[in-house]
Amino acid sequence: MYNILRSAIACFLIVSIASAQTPSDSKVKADNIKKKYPDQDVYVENSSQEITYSVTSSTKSGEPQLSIKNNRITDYLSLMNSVEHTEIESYDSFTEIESIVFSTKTGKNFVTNYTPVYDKAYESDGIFHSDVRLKIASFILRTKGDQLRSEIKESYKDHTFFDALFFHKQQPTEKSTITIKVPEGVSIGIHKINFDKGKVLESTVTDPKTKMTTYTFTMENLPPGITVGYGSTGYSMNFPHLILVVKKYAFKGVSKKGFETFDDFYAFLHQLNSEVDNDDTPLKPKVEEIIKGKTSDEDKIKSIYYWVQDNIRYIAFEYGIAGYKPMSAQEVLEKKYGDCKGVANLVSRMLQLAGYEAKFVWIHTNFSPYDCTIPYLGNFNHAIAYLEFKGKEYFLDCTESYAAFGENAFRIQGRKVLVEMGDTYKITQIPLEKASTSRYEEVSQLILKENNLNGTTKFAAYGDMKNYYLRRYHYAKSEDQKDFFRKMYNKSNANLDVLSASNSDLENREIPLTVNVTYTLSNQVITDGKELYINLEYDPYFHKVLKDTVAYLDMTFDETVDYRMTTKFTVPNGYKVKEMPETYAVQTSYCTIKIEYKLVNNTIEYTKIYEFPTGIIPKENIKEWIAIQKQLKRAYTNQIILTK
Amino acid sequence: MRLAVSLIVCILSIQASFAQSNSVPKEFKDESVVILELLNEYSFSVSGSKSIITEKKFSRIFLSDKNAVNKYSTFYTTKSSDNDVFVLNIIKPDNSKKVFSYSDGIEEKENVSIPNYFRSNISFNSSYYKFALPDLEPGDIIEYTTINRFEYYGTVAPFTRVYMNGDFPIVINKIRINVEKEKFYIYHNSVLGAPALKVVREGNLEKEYYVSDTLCKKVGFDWKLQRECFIPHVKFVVSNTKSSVRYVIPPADDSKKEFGPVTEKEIKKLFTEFKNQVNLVKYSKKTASIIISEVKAKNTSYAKDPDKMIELCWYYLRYKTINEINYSMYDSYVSTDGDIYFVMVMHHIIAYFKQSSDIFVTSDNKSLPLTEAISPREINWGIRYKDNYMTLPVYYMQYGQVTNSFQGQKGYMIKNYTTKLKPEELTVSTIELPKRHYLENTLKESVSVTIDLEEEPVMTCSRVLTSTNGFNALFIPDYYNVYFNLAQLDFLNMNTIDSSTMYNGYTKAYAQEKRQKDKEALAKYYKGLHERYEEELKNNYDNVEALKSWKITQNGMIPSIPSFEIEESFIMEDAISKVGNGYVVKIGLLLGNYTRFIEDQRIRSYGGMLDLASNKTIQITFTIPDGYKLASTEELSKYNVTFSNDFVELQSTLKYTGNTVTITVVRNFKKQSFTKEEFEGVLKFYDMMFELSQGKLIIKK
Repeated sequence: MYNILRSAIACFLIVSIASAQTPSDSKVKADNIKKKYPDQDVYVENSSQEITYSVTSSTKSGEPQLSIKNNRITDYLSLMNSVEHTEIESYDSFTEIESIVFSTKTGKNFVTNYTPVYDKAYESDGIFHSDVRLKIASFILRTKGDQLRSEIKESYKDHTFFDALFFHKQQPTEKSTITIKVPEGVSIGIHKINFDKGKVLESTVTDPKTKMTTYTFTMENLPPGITVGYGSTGYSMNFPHLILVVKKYAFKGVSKKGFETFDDFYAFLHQLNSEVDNDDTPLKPKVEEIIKGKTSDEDKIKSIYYWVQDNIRYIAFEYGIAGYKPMSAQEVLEKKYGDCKGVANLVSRMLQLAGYEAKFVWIHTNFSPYDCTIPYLGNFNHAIAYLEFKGKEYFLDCTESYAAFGENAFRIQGRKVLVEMGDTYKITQIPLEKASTSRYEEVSQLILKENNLNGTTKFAAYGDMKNYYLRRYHYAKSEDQKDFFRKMYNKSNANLDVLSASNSDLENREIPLTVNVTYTLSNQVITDGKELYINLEYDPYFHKVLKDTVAYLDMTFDETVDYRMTTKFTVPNGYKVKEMPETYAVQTSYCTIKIEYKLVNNTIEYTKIYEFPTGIIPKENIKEWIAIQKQLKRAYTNQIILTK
Repeated sequence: MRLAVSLIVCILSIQASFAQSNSVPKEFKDESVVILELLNEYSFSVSGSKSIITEKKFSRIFLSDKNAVNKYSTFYTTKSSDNDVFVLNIIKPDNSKKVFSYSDGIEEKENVSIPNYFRSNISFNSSYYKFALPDLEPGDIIEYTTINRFEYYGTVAPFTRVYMNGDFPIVINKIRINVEKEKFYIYHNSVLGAPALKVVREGNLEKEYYVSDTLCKKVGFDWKLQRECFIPHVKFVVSNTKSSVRYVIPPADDSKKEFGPVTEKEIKKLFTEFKNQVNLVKYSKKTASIIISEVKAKNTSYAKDPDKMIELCWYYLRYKTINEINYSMYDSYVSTDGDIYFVMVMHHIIAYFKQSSDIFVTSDNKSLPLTEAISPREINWGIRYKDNYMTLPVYYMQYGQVTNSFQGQKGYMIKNYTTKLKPEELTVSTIELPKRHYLENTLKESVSVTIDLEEEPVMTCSRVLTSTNGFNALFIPDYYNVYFNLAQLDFLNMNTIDSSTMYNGYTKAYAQEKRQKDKEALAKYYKGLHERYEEELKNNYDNVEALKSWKITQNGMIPSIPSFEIEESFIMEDAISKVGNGYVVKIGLLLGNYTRFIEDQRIRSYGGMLDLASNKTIQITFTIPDGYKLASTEELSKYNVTFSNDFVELQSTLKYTGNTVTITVVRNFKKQSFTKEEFEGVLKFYDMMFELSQGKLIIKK
């Protein structure tokens, strides 16, 4: 409250103080850009990233030493008065943010400002402990049209951990240039990703004197890289970017190898895993205990897989090389926790001890443009296990609690994976399943009882949906488990009073989850004495309409959607159907939605089908999706009319 | 080193002193986490010029399920000095143990996100250690002891509350406080049903302890639950005997170290200490002189009217308090939390105009009388001039008004106070602050509803919301804007901005540019307000699609405008659906958002405190479009109901005349707080309001 007031007051003052200093052309420009991007406060006039490799000799070993600097200069233009601009730069044990300096434009020159930089730990929900920290610097752009320059100097200690380079920023950008300076003796691979998703101008120049080769890539007039509404499929899927891979480097005739081929990259990963000191001694009795009494191979495999799923908690440490190197199998077993790498290592080793050739697998979940061809760590963000069994490939993700053997969660489906086969590797692809493998089906019967609707519903959940419900149940407090599905089914609808619920075996992850509920629905029926008006909708989907805006990245639900619900309403004796709402149906490239009323004998069947086979709404279709949501919302208010 | 050894011995003795109970009482069999034993122990000592608090926490926690295991598998504890000790055992069902200490954890120096149940009751600058606890399974017990040593140069320990009930049920709950008799005074009080501490003497140590003899249930559903007003707790404050300022309500008799009810004697001592604060007197006088001179300069016509001048000074002080929040007494203005400072400033202002004033103390805790207070943090200062009671001004209070939290509260007063009074001349009397009847705190919402049935049906609503008295406290803070400031300055004759001369003295071109910039800035500010007010509206009505316009017609900030009033026009979405040749209109939506309490929320262990006892009237006037008439439905009778109990009155009526349907709902909360027994009546009211909010009308051709 005070802040708003103060900023309002400040606003009046600032206008009068700063107006004489700001060139009027920058203000006109700010006005024009604001019209195009009304939600944006700041515009990037120029973004320049300069990556410089240099190689020297280590004084001790004589080996060449490679250093990489990334200097970024960004010129911002304020589109409003009193805008606080903040630079947040992350770093870890492999990188260093050497400086962040702000300067403001006065006349033709930029004058450096004192820039306090704060350092704080980065906290992430999924990671218990990480070495990632943030350096944060803020600056207030007082007046519309003010120009701010930010200069950030970053250095990398190891080329292996060099990240992808993007042209896009969170703000709309006029010009974005990436310059890569490579001296003689350093050989790099420049991998251009998504270059078909934007116009990138390229040039390469080698200075004959210094032998320095300069690669320049430029993009112009870029939209902001921001998401709205749901999650996005990410920068790497949506925007052109570069991945730089150091192949080799040499100094005074001594050369050192980087990743010339994907094989070299695999060797690096395999080396990390080889350094893990797995000790089978404590594993063996546990494996024997788990598979005791199991006679078939499949039962043995499942029992180990499920035991790890159920008994090893996910706690992630991402600290230095621990972010890439698994914890030993015995340590994970003893601690009963680990991150995905540790758990994948444990389940692989346990299966091996039981006599099955399980392997460790590197994978990227959800959306990634990389397909295990570029020697780049960003290929992967997850680890699972792999098993060939009876001629079929199985992918065991122990962090997916309650996924049955052979079920692959949507987040790993269709992904190319790197399977560790000892000194060699194998790249294979996890099958992409139909959305129906994770479908949700519901069949309900409703009857009119006085002015309420009495209902029974049987719902069934498959695949990821089944796993979601099982996880929610098993991780609920014991006091909440008692009546879990009865309470859960209230669907946040205060008119729905769930009376009872019964469910299928919640310990068996290999069968679909089925739940039967009985309930009373109130405030769905209204009558004028002659006619009954009944709204059969009590569980609307996708009705929270997104803000009417432009999307710059594809949106995703992070899951496929296949929901089918049928509500059968028995027309009460003495009544006949006077009117039923029209069918609402929409079919697009990304979704199929149908809401239909049918009269079958004396029963109105209200059917709803929602299908998003990829779980993605392309950015070009967001406006269309918002319009669909509005139509859906209206359709949910429809009533049927019964008359005597 | 010797200290660390002694602390470890101490831990062992703590752990040995507890019965190793691993069994969960049948009352808690279904609970996810059960605290089998809990000890909060505080020891106070002196080392040179420093005071030292040693906080020991011992807990034995049974984890019954995966949820509990997940909750505790990442564990946090505090560390405030190198001598701190932490020992944690994971006890398996076969009684085997795994032991952990600080060296097994990771130090986290920054303020990280940590659940409250891992935090220290005494908040000092501590770093945290985090642990990923291994091999934790349902059925395990976590037993841990932390000993944190806090050193500080002050002479008074922080005022601390230790609650008997928390996030989890507790089987054995112990509190222990150890002080060295000659070095510290301890003032403590067990309130709201917490058993009194018992005193045990061991040498020079006076130990006070409490052990629960009943099971402590978890807090559970906490809607409108103010912990300090409802949950049993032990509060204490410890003060070095050599301290000149004890930051406790001083005992009438220094030798009497046991806390007793606050009486006039203690209050007299409190007032004596108050006036002896030299800086307070000095700086408050300086502030008063600034306020007086500025008010006098602009209001010369009232120079001979002390009542008016005092009133204007109060309004100016309120204006300053609102807008210049960084004031501290050293900047010569009043600090926002400086009620004592405010009282002294007002006292000087009143004295300047040769009038006398009375100073009082009271409490804002409506569940506990002032006599139960032990720390000045629990009391609030105020001043009375004639019949005008004044506490630290906030922007929704007008001159002479007492905020909702103080209304009807009891207190102590010194009449005709001056700083020259000697202790023996102080005469303390008891008072009860003025209290408004619930019918005086009014909120009226008049909503006119029209619907446009061309193409897609649209519901447009105009609302006039008018609040008075206590309700102003709920609305003015939400709607406060720069125009409220201007209104106050106008009232004080201090609004020096003359719009006709604003751009004089500039070149024509520059003046034009400046005018344009100011216009843009104003438009931006106005747009920001629009967005903020739209959010407010959406908080009240789920189905608001857009706020079309708004106008604040009364600001409630100055004597001639006691009410707050806003007129708004907005569009509701999904409020109309076509049926045959008519429409179903969800008229109940205009009553606001009311939800039903779900079953877990219908049982509570404690009472609760509403915002205020009050009267609210909602009148919805629905104009039926031409060519349509209201169909007779059972729903119409739904709106003709009355309900009353000790806590709430509800009356709803529906009238249909011509083409207008008028629904009037009046509800009175007769009391501000409710007991857990009265909650049933509260539920009934909310259930009825939910039903009304679901109401629909049918209009037909």
